[in-house]
Amino acid sequence: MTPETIVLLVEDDPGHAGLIRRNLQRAGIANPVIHFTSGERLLAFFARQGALPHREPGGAYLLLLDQRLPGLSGLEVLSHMKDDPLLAQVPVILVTTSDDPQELDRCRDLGCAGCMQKSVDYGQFVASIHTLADLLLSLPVPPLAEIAP
Amino acid sequence: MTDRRRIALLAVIVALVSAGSAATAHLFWWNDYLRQQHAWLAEKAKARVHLLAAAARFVASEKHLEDPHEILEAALGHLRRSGEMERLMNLSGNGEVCIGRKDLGVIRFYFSTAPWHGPGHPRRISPTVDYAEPMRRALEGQRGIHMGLDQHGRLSLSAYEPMAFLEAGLVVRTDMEGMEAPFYQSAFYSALAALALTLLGVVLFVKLGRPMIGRLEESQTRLSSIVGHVTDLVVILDEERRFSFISPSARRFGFDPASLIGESLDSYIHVDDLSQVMAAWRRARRFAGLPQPVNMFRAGQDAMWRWLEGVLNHLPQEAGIQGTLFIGHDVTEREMSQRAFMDSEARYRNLFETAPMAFVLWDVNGRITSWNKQAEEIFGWPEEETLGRDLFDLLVPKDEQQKLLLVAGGVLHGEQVTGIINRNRTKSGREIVCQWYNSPQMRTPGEVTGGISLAVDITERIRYQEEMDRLNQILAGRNRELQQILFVASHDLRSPLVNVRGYGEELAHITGELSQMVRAHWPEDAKRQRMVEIFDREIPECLSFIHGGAERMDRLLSGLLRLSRLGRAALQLSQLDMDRIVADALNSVGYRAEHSDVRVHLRPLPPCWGDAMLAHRIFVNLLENALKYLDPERPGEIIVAGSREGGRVFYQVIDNGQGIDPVHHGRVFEIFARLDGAPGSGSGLGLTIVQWAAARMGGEVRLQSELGQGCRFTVILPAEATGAPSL
Repeated sequence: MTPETIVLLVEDDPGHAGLIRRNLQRAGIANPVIHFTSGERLLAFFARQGALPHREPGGAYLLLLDQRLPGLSGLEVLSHMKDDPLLAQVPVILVTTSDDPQELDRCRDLGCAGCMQKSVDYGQFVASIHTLADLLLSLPVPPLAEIAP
Repeated sequence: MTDRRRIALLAVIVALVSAGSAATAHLFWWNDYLRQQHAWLAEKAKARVHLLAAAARFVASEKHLEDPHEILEAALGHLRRSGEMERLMNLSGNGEVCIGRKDLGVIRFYFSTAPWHGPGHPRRISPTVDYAEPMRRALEGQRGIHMGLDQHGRLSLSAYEPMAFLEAGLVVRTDMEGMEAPFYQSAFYSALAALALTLLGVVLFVKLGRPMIGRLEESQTRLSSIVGHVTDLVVILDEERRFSFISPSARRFGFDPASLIGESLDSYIHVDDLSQVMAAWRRARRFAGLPQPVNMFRAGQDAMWRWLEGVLNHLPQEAGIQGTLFIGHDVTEREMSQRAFMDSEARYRNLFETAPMAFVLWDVNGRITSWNKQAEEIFGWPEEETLGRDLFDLLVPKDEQQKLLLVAGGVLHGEQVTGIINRNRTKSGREIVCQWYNSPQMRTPGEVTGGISLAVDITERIRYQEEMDRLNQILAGRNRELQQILFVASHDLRSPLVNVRGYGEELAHITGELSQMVRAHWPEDAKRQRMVEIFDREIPECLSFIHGGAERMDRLLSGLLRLSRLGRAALQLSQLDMDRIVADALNSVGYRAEHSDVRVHLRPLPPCWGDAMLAHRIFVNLLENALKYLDPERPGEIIVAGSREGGRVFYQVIDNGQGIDPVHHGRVFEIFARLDGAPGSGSGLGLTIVQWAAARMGGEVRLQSELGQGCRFTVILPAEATGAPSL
């Protein structure tokens, strides 16, 4: 990802969002972050609907998606995006509190670029963010190319 | 001596006797003939004496003669002259007449005449032997018959008569030539007759006797063969009811016939049957020759009783028996099968009457022929109101009849149609649901005479079943909800913990920063001292409780999550290689790395039917548990063993650790139960999970333990696929 890439963070818990942003910054990720509190808002952003900011045409986006969300769950948002040829180009990293290996397998099967566990143990949490930062820096994030419907 | 020889000897004796009697007859005949000849001769002699005496008297008176010799001469002369000489001398047949007289003590034969000399020509003859003796007797005044031999050695017969007045004697003699012929003839015929009789005897013996002997021998052989092979028991008893004969068939009863001879019958009869056998015995003795039936009785000894029946016949005069004959046969099998039949009949009758099922018997026309108590109970119809009525009309609602016609048809074709569930109507019109088991009634294989239908009223059962299905569905829904709640709750409850821990750490970090700033820039006064105390002691203390609480909460939640996952994961049942699974579990608990001082014995384990993941979990938890609660006082020892019993496999994890007081055995499986009370590293769910996992696979877990004596956990799992529903 490039410094121009915009990180989209979907996280209903503002505490979690704060911890993630804080630690990403500490890990050296200075990219702009747009925070959404639900999957619906994220989809509205992509569809350029509602009062919130809309996506820029040709913008490069990377998505950190919480698995458990009010309304549409993380996995539902993910499968919605993978069904849309445009949004399917956005790399998605799933963020979850679960340590269930089966659940992690499933999100990879759905086309996630990666997975990050929000561990209760803060030491592990920080270590996960550092791993995530390394992953983000190595991910190629293409600008969204419009596809004619 | 064989019969054949005996009969041959008899034939010889008969021949000898017939020959003897022929000879005797011949002698009698011959004697008779001789007597006739004697009489004839004696008469001839007498007649001639009379003739001569008449002539002598005539000439003596006429010529006044006195000398006997002269008178004799004159009489003979007179006879010659008068032509009477012929009468005197001619003896018909071959005979001679001789007149003699004693002359000075010497017998002189006066003359003799024979037919061949011709009458009138008497000749002087020499005194020969066969004349001498009769003449001597005649001259002595005797009269009689004499038999002698002539000069040729031939037998001759003489009659002699005295003639005292003439001082002379007369002998009429005939040789036996004429008589020998009939003698030999008679002897010949007698011998011939004897020979013929003997021949006839031989022929009869050959023609009749031999086949008769053959038949006799054959029938004797047959008789002994029959007696030898007859299955009936043939016994002859003497006056005292002792065995005097026993047929070899006694061996069938386990007795050696020879050894029983002389023994008393009474000791071989069952004591309960003795009186009726004795009654038959007395009857037989009273009516000799009339066979008396003996009803079934037990004969034998000890436990080896056989049932016999037969006839007693008292035959005291009968050759070869001379006692009481018993002919009986073994009816044990018949009796046993009869009893078995009666028993089974009674059993079935009993079953029929008391079975908790309705029994309905019906004929080929579908009409009821029998109806038991339970049928009365279920359908409300007393038996007498049902007999002869159509089963369908009575019990089956119209819309069910079509289906049941097929069933009845099948039964009448010899099929069993079972498990049919249909609605029925009771006498009161109530509708019930019954399950029917229908079988054909057969007199002989293939000949169906009707059907037997058994019914159970399952109305209540169906209602219960439906109720149970409904409750099960609710329960399953609740269970799913609970699992969901458990999952969501544990998942969502974790989320705030991230904040608690995360921001706690952040707070600690900021507090540290603040503390350093205070130390660097705040003047040394009482406030600073207080602030340092807050930063260095009070805030870290608060944070450590927040931290510890969150950590503990996290542990509980991850335990719940694991539990919920166990509940949600689909079971993958298969035959499990338990040796491998337990070895893996042992590695998972870090046995070699962290517990090298503990000895673990893995015995060979039988396979079972279950889910590999759950089985792994069970043994991980049990081994963890065993390792965690070892007794520090002694070296740890853990044994894992297993055995199969019937359809189940019993696995045991045995340790020599601290053990659990029996009062707590119930609690160890509860969620979050901890017996040690110390906030250890466990979630308090280990044994709960073991129990859940075993239950999901259709098994169970048991605990045996005493405080200070180690634990023995037994996991019981199905050995093979059971088809039982898993939870």
